Order: sequence, then structure tokens, then C-alpha cells
Amino acid sequence: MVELWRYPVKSMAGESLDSCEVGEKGLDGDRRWALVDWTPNRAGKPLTIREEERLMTYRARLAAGVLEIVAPTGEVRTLDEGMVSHLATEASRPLTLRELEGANFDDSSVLLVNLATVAAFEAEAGMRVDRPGRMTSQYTPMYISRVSGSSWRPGSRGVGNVVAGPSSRYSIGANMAVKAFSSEWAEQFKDQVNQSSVYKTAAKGWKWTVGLVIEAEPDKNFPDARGVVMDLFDGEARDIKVGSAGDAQKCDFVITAPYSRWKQVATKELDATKGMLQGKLKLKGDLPTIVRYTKASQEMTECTTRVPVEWPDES
Amino acid sequence: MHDPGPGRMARRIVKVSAKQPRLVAYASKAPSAFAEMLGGLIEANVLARPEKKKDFDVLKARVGIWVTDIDEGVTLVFDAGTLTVYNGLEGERTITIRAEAETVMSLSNLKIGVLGLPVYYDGVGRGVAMKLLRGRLQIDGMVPNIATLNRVTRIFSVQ
Repeated sequence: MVELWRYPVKSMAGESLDSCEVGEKGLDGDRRWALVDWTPNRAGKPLTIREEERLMTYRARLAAGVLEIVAPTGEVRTLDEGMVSHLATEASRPLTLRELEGANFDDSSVLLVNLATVAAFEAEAGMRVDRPGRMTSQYTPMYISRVSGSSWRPGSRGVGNVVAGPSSRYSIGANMAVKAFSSEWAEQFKDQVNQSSVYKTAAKGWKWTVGLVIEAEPDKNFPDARGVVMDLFDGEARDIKVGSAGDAQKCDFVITAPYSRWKQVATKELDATKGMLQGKLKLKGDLPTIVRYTKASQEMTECTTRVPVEWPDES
Repeated sequence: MHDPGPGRMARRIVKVSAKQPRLVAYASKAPSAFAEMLGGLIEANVLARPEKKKDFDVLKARVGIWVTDIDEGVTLVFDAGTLTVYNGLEGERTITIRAEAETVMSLSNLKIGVLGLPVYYDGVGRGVAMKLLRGRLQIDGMVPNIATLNRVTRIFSVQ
């Protein structure tokens, strides 16, 4: 074991530990707290660094079971009402505090990064990882997912290894940011959809193709329109490919929007359902069918947000 | 990939012949996206499902729907076989529903059970009922117009 980190408050910086108890809900006290965002388009969702980067400048730690926050100024505070109110003012968002062990994780309650994976990642990415325990700076954190059975399932980019625990096995992979709406993006998006048990249940019975048309915005460094063609069948993404806008327009359901709108959806700035009701995303297809699968389409949007993306207007 | 051509996949077939009068009209020359979506949803439902057409042909009511988190709404004027959709809340209304977008979508996913009554005991129904109890779904005019509300729900529901 090289490093062990715990993050008591979701999206705040964490603390390095020498040892920690690990239970079914992960490391003791890890992400036990989260700030819940009550802005109209995010009501009830946890606040993350996507919405408020300054969260990472606060460090959370548990001192003898008591939560302490080290502010960027170095001042140590408790996460009481006054502190939540201060953070809400700073973020310009109505916030509340949620304390619920095991409920504030995005994917898995435990994130394991082993040295073999780090080495493989360094080889593939062509960069050195200085702090293996905190792989968060230029690329997204490594992910880990529980694998049923004993066979190794590689991560979407083939970087991986297996850690065997007493009762389960974990697959470990590294997700590098991929260019928005590229073939690599489509591949990772498909992986995310197929890893989602929520989507699998909500999309049971879905038998139609879906096309996303991403309209060009040359001033945003996105000069040509693109189409994403999704072959979705009964809770599974059989294929997701990037092609021309014309390819996407041939699908049974077509959703069209300019590049920057899709970016807003993928970064959770715009809720897709609201976007459709407001005409920001234009939908073509049998409305009763798509309404029947609202939950599936919401989860699919969530899946897009899990793909680390390099946006052309930010590069 | 699916063959996008007709006939291979299960899909709802909606036929609208040229002679068939449109069931839904829009009061504004520039209907909002929400108005078009609701109008389109109701039209597709009514054309595809005879039991919904039966309700549609007798329903006379002015129903407002206001989506609180996008600050947009419509007024649906049902007049025994035709529907006119207005942008925004217009004039006096029999029923006015106020809820967030997600709840409005849940309303259209309510299952219809025995005697044509909406089902409030499954997952979607319980969610809607809880929102009603907690005030996150407000229905003005519900109590004196419960039969009308049920009929609107039946027309609106895609289940």
C-alpha cells in the first residue's frame, strides 16, 4: 500500500491516512457528507467541482470522529450551518448538507489504484504520475468497478489489472479524457451505458435507434456537424458510432442541438428533459414512446456526464 | 444496426390521412416548444388509442399546465373532439397543474387501471402522490373536477 486517501465531504480535498477500516459502504467516513444543490435545474443533486471548482480548495478531515474543514485560508472550521451558508454564498447556489454514509458516491464506494495500473497508465498516456493515490489533475480519477465472477474485464482503454479481495474481485481501469464526439468518446459512452444497471432496467423493451445531431459551431472550434448513431436494444447499447449528421437523421428518434447545447447537457448545466420542453434540444420521433422511456433517457444523459471529455472550445 | 426501413421493428404506427381534420390546433403562430410537445403527445395518443379518442371526443375543459422549473406553461382547451393549445396560462381554467418538468413527465407516465382510474400504487403513481402531498405538485380545481382530471390524465398518459 503506497497511499490511502479519504474524502469525508464529496468533492472537497481529502486526507491521507495510515490506516482505515473498510466496510460495505467503503472507507469509514469516506464521502459521508455532501453538499446538495437546490438550484432549479439541479435540485437534490450533490454539488461537485463541475459546478464549483473552489470546493477542491477546502480540505475535509475527520479528527477523532469529528468533521473539520480546512479553508483555503488555513482556518479550521466545522461544517455547520454557518459554513454551509458561506459555501452557498461563494457558489451562488442554495445548498444544504447531507450526511448519509454510502450514498454520496458516483460509481463505486471503493477506488483502488494499484502500481501495475499506474505503470500501464503511464505507458499508455506517455506521462508520469507523481502521486498515484491522487490521480486527479490532468485526467479523471481512475475508476474501479466490481466484477462478478472471476474473469478480468478490461477497462474501455484496455488499461487494467485485478485485485482479489476475500470475497470479490475488482476491475481497475483508467479513463483518459477523449475528444468530444469522437470515436473514442462513443466507445466510452457505450461502456458507461452498458455498465449502468439503472439504464438496463429503465430501457427494457426499447427497440429503436437514436440519432444525436451535433450542429456545427465554428466559433466554438467545432466546424463540422456530426452525428451519433446509437443502436439501443432492450436495455443494452449494442453500438454507438460517430458519423455524419445525415447518418443520425435516419434514426427512429433524432435529437438535434448545436454543439454548445450538447456540451451543456454533458456537463449537467442543462437537464435534457427540460431542454426538450424548452426547445433547446429538438426532438423528432414518436413522442409517446420517448415519454414512456423518460427515465432511460435521463440515465443516458447521466452516462454522457461520466465520460471525461476534452472540449474543442477549451483546448 | 437496426434497419430504419418500415416493417422490421416494433413501433407505433400513426397514420394521419390528408382528409382527416387535425385534432390539435395552436392558438399562436409561433407555438412554444412545450406547447408543440404537449399538443403532439396528445394527438399521437388519441390517434393511436381508441379509448383515449373516446375521452377526447367528450372532454370539454380548459386545463393549464405550468412547469415551475422552466417558467413555461400552456393552456389546453379541449372542446369535445378538438384541442387548442395556447402558449402560457390563458383565461379561466377548469384545472391548473403546477409542477417541475420531471413531475409533468411522470404524470404522462401514470398507468391507467380498472374503471379508467390512474394507478397511484405503483412506483410512478406513488411518486406523483408524494409530490402532491408535499406540495411539489399543485392542482388547482382538483376537488370539484376530479372526473375531468381523471379524463385528462387518461388522454395525457402514454401508458
